[in-house]
Amino acid sequence: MRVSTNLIQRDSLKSLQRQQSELHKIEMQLSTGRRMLTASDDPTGAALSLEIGKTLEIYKQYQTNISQAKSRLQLEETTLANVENVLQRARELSVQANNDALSSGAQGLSAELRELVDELLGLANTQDANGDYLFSGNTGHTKPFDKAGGGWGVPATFTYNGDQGEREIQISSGRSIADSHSGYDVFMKVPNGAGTGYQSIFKTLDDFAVAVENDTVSGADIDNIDAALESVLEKHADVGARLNAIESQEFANGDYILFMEQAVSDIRDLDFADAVSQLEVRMAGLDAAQKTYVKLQGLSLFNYI
Amino acid sequence: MSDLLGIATSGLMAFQRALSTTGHNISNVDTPGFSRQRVSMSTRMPQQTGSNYLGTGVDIAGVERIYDAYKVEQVRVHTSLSKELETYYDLAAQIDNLVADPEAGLAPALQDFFGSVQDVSDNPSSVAARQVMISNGESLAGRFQSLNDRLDDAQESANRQLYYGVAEINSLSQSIAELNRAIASTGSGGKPNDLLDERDHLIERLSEYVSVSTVEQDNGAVNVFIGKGQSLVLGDKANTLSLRTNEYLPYHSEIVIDDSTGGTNITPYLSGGVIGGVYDFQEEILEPTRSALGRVAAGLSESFNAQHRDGLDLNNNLGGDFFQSPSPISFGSAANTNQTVAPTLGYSDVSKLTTDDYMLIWDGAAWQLTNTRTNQAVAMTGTGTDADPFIADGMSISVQPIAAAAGDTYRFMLRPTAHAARDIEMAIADPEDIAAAGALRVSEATDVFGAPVNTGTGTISDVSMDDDNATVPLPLGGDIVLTYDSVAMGFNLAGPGAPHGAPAPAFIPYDPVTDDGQVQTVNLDGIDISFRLGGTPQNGDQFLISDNLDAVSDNENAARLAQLETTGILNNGASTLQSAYAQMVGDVGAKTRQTEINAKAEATLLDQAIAARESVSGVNLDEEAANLIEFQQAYEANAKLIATAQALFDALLNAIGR
Repeated sequence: MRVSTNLIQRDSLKSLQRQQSELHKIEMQLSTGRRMLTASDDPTGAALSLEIGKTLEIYKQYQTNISQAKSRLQLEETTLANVENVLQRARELSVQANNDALSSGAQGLSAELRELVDELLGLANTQDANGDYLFSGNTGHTKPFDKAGGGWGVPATFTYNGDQGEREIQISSGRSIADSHSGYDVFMKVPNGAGTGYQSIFKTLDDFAVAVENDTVSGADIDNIDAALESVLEKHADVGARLNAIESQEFANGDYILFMEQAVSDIRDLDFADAVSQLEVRMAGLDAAQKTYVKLQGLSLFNYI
Repeated sequence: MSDLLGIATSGLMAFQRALSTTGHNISNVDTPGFSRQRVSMSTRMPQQTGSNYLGTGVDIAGVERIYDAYKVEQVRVHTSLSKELETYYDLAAQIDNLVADPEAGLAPALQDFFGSVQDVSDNPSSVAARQVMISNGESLAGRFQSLNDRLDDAQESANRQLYYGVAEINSLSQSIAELNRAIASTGSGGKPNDLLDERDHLIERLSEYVSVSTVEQDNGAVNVFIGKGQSLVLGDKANTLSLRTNEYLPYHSEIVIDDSTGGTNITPYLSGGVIGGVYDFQEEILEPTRSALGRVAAGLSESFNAQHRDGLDLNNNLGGDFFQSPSPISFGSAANTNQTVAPTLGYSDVSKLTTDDYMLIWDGAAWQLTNTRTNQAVAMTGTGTDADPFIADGMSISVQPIAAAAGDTYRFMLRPTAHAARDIEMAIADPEDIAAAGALRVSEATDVFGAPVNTGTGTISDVSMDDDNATVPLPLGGDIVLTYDSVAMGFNLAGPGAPHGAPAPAFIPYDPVTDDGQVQTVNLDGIDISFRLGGTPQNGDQFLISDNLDAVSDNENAARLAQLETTGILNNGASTLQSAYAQMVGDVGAKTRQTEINAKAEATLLDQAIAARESVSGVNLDEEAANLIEFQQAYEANAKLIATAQALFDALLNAIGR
């Protein structure tokens, strides 16, 4: 076919520009590390990577939720262990009081028991890192337990000001776990020793102290302390079970996150070895196009006339 | 000898012309639209001498341009198609670059926002976490707006292309008309090659803006038509195109031709070139993307607000709207009987929203709704009043403010979500106004010290409520008390007292053996309250449903809000917000890619068409150099003839003079 001088010029230039634009794209891919620079590079992949990216972010959020729930449950666990220590000590003292006919020891015994009641009250009013009360149910700014009245030989009254709510934290898709027990469940709704009703742990300890002071200690006091200890241990075991469940979920989420990160990376990220070899090919192509252009420019019959 | 001199002179003249034509070709090697020219020569009329015919030299038959009308036409056609796709692609690429950008797209803002809702759910009493949720909500609304702004920018650059396109078409058609006049006035005889070339070139440039067809007239003038036979140039007269605002959408322009009828809208008939590309982009990418983005915004604000209103904030108030909810927008026709009235629009169900536009038309007796994409009528339920609006495709439409009468004309274009991304905003600014807690709490009855009084193992849990149809709003004010009757096997309900009525039913049957853990629902003044009863209550055991006051650590509602991220909100519940956005990104990407491929293919076809035309009409300098040598030699040979004639003449004179 007959070619015009203009066409030769045009075609050479086009070839140069095409090589340059391909080269530019690989440069962009290399500098961003992404295979997809725009949605049109891979429309399906773009939509898919957004979907997977969303799920990935949600699972990362679940891990954040888990660490929050964990720290609260761990605080509860520590606190419950301390409550158990208080009750254990009261248990020892009750055995001692039951055996000891010496009324001379009542004073010392009562003093220590009063200490234990206060310690228990302090534990029940524990606040978390945010200053929220751990055992006030969902009313975190309300101090859950108050003590009023009482004295030597006179029982005090204990009031629970919180609610009975438990907060559920989402730890995975469709799975939530409570990150606390309400003070009502831990300290108030505690079965009495006889199994006939409920009695708060404070009352159990306070009643015991009053009985020591009035020298009316009975087996029921010991039974009540045993029942309280058993109830707290039950809650403690519950916390342990929740922590275990959370930790195994944390591992499962972690595996899933790794898997999805890989999936997103496969879709979105650049294969550097491949891109670098492409870069070499394009550079060689551009070089050839440039050389061709220069050579063609030198060809003209006018050079000879 | 005089005939030899005549022959030589005719040769000299002819090759002088051939040389200057070659020069013309060489000097126009870069002139756009130039067709190479050639001097066609023929022998002169021979001279009859007796019975013989003697040659008398060469004649210039004409200077013709080397030209193939079909190939010129092909270049024109492919120029239109190629320019259309190129324009479409350039505009689409603006959107394509934007939507999938990991930083600038919607996806990260949506994720950050819902992440902060989860953080509030982890720590509802933390004002810091609430503050982050508010500011992430602001960023999210801002991201919707800025994405919409980018769409507006694309609209603006589309409008600008239309503006310059129309101006260019007008100036080109004017020039073509003037060339027509010049060409027609040359009359018969040699053709004005350079004028013809220039006119062809102008028509080719015209085809960059819009597809054209041409008909050549006997006098050499060319009539140019666009669209469905609308005449742009008729002989030496050019019609002017102008832009005017679309009847409904103030940001869309349509093209009118100022013909004898005083302006006809020819937009629907135009295709090809920059104009065709702009309209294709507008219709296939820009507006669908705007509506799809808006639908995510509407889905977010409607569903988030509905859930947020069911919760309780830090000040013990029921939650209000979290986002200022956008609504569908109507655009009235200029022909409407009353220009100041419009339908009242709202969302009835975001899951049913489409990304299409609708026409709402009063036919003189009834209102009709038509989907403008499918051109199908859309069935509406309801009567169209404020109290009982029309419901169709997720929209509620009240035509009560219009009060249309028989004989009135009303036409409205309805855009359900096209403005939602622009209009979404935060409705609250105070972290304490976030309704993270549930509105109600349930509890076992206690004595004044908070100690249990129930003797059975009955439990109550998982309370939730829906107050969309409330006749007396929350708060309860008092408690709803459920008291167990072990003989009748069920709970008697009482409370909460004025202003509320009595809960219905007044008795909930409960058999501990069969009903353990069942969800129960009671209705109080239109408020549905559900909860779960379990265990074995004893006679007289009581449970309470109360306002969830001071529950600063309750995350009930925050957790439900967080779950909206993974809830199917759009497409009849099939798409989450994020997946609807991902689908929009995929659509934009697929269309852009398709256009890119088509544009490349069409560019190749255009290159081939140009190469084909150039193979006929293009100047090849080597060829011209060869011609130059050839014509120079011929010229020199003819000059030699004159010298020879002179020598002959001299010889004759010398012979006579002796």
